[in-house]
Amino acid sequence: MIDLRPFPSIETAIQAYLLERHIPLEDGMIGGDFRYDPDTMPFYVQINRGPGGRTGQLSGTFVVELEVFGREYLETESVASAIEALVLGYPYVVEADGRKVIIDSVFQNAGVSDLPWGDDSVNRFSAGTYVMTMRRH
Amino acid sequence: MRVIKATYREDRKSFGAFILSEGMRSVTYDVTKDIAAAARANAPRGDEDDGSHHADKYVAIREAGTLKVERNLRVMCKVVNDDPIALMNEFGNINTKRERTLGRTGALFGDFKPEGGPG
Repeated sequence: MIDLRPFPSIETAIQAYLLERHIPLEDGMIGGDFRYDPDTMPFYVQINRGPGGRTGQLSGTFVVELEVFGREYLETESVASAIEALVLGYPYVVEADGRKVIIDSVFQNAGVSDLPWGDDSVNRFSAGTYVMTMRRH
Repeated sequence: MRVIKATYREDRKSFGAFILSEGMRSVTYDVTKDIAAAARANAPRGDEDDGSHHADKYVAIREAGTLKVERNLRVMCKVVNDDPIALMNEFGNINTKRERTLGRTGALFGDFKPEGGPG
């Protein structure tokens, strides 16, 4: 697969954290690009960096937006709520780009809400917008 | 020589009242109005301009409750735009690129502002 845009360490760290938890996610169902395929995936989690923050590669303050796309409205909403609960359960240590990092504070700017997508067959939920601080462990 | 011990004790209750006071809300509201004005200037505009363009509908809300940061409450003001086109502009959809007008504008103020930014 060709990455169309870089997937920085903060996103890699969040991806690793969500994959190792109990949300039924697999590789390919979470990433920084829109890769949702309704025919093969029950849902897809998109991780985006928002504007703002002061960051290095592995440390700094980041604005992160998480979105869930899915076929079933209620399942998509429940995945978004589960992600919100997990992300707010800081601090946590995860591996990003071969190094252990700690996400030691998470503030939520906006909570779970449904967002229009313009396609009735796809449900789209924001799983929240967060300000996170990350540093090397 | 006489030793005088400092007996300063922080008054968290008074500081909490101060940080939630109307004076603090006024300062926050001033910044909110600046963000709304900047969003109106930054929003993409098409050719149509009959006075009802979504870019003109970013408004500052003074009484928007409080926000909890860790265990501390802070006053909160908001910038809102109730035009559906502004929603599409902010978050994008299957056919439209996400412009993040308000997100990008807000990031220019406060703790996240780049060197030399406004606010």
